[in-house]
Amino acid sequence: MADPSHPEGSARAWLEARTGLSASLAKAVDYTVNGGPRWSHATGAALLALLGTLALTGIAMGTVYAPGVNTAWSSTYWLEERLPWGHIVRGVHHFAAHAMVALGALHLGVAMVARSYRSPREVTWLLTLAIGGLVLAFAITGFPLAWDQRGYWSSRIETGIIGSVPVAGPYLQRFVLGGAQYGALTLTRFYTLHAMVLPLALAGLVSARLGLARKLGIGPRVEGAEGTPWWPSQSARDAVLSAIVLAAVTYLGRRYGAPLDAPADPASHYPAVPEWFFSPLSQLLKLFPGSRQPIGTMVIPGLVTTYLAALPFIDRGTTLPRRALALTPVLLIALGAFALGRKLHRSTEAPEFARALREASHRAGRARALARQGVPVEGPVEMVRNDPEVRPQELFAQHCGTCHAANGISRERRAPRLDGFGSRQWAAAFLVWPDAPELMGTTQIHDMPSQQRRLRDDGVRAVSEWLYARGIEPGEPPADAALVAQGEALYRRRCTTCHQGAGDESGTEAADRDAPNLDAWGSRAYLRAQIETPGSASNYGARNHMTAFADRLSPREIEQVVDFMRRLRVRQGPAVVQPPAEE
Amino acid sequence: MPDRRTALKVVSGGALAVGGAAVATPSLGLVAGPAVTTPRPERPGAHPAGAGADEAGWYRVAELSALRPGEPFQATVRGDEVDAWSVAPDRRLGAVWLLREAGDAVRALSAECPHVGCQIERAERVFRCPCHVSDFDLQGRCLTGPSPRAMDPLDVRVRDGGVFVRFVRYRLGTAAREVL
Repeated sequence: MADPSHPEGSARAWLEARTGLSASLAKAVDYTVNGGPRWSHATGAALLALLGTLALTGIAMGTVYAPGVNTAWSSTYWLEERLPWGHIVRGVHHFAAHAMVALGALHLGVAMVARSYRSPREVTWLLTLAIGGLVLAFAITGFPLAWDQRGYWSSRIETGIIGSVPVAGPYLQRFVLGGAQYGALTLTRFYTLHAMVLPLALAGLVSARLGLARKLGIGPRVEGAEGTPWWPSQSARDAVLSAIVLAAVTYLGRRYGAPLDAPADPASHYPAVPEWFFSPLSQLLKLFPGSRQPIGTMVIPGLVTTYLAALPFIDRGTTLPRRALALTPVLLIALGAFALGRKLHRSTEAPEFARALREASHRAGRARALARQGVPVEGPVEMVRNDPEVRPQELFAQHCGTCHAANGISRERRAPRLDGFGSRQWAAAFLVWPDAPELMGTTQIHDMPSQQRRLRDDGVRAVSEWLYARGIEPGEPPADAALVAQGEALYRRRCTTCHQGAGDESGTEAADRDAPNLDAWGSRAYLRAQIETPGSASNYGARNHMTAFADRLSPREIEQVVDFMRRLRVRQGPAVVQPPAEE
Repeated sequence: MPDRRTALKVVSGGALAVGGAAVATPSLGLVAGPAVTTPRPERPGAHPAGAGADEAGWYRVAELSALRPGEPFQATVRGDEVDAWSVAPDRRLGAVWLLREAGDAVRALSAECPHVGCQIERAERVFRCPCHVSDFDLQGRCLTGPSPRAMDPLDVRVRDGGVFVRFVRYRLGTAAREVL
């Protein structure tokens, strides 16, 4: 009533008399900053701003997102690419989450340097650590929600670790997954945790943390220094740092967005990489394989957590040497985490890994292009599997890749590598050393010796050209006609002593010629026959031990595998390797 | 002259407002978006109404030989059902009433009641919406009941013995007829 800013009879006085709004607001900002305003105190406020951002963008996405194995990816795609603002909202949520982890670590670091946890702030520290744990739980449950390949596979690996916990492991794992397998009920469980349970828990812990800040003040008490009110000197610093962080997060979210991989396919394989803040843990897992796994998954993380929680009771000295001693483990933990993360990152630089990532990104691009036309009711995975561009590769990987190697799909070595099959180079490599490890070397057929000495380099080149020309389809560029003619003459004279086929000039009895007929080598007809009936008389006959696919795949599927083989034809094939001297 | 304290207050409020606005705008835009635009799957070669229709949105709904003059015939419209991102093929999209007139001329009326969208049925000598008992004569004119307008006519044509209807939906509850 006596407040000069609310003169009697004004609208504000009217509202104040009925609500006490101004008084409540004044009370709400009534925090004391111990030792005066500082920029280093502003990280907490910036974390709160990020929290608000995550809540807001999370709720906005919740109006679109549909948790379910057939709808999670589709709705995320819809949000990401088709709805106005969706890309930015999802991007901001993504980068705000990352910023939360990074800034949270900084917040803890500042507290350690300033020894903010000294008496009477030990409980404040423990609460802050608990909030940090919740932030990680948010990350774990949020990452797989888009139900894309990367989120799915990382999460499957993370939850797989739970099973290694002694005794309770299997029960704990089933509890987390919502059943025996990682699937539909895991998704709804994670969604409930991420969007309902964890926000409630976080709201509770954050209120408690703010309550302690009100009681004990912001920052540690400074000897001989008066506390100052939070408003407006510290609040200005808080607001400026928050605005900078929010601007950065908005910029990054808009510029780069959040990644969306191909829809999660449980029947595929995927080069899963954890988020950067989980990579040290992930590398620990690799360091302790098998029965020693709990050391990496429980003992070391448990020791680190215990140490952090005990810091207020360990770090009690005020002299530099004593403090340095107490905080040495922090330095070791940070360096160790950095080294582990770097090691994991290095392993992702391997060429096979890069290739697998390229394939995955190709698949992601196809999935998005297909989803643009609407996702069929069978769901996004079937949509991608049935894609004429993806399907042949899937069939190949599933049926052929179990024995044959081919670029990026399979590295099996039980049968010849099929990159470049039908090309000059593949033919030349075969002629020079049929039993090379990448060719017939690992099969049970070793009848053919090297032809290098019989044909010489010129002959190998000519016969390779002739063989290559067998598979040229109408419309494709022709082979070198002169070389083909030369190769054909050589083949009819020197190769048909064993190989079946027309125009034999070697004078060998037909009955003695039992090697495969190569007159249409590499053509669609040849490939079809090889896939359907590899044991036919004109092929390997009784010596064949490749599976016949005539009854295993539909004619349409066989055509698709043939399509894929024709795509492999133009790839770089096995290198021409000279046989060892004794052959 | 503004003192330091006032400046700090302005900075506090201003920075918070700027940061808040930067973050809130996209979220509000996303939530409010459907009020202005409704994206649909891009289906090359298909009418926006979905497959089952040709490019101009004509659905084959009945054979002319099945219609008897003066006798209303209820035909089902089948096609791709599109809902946000999902596309379900060959679903029942709705129904139309067909009336064969003199010769091969056919009239088509949407079976969706203009009131709140219940399915209009056939009663003795009239069409009747069972939800709120609106009666329409066989020409579709509203006789009694709360329907704000007559039954909605649809474009219809006969080709090769088939009856084709251009199936559209209209805004409900208004006297004026507005295509959705």
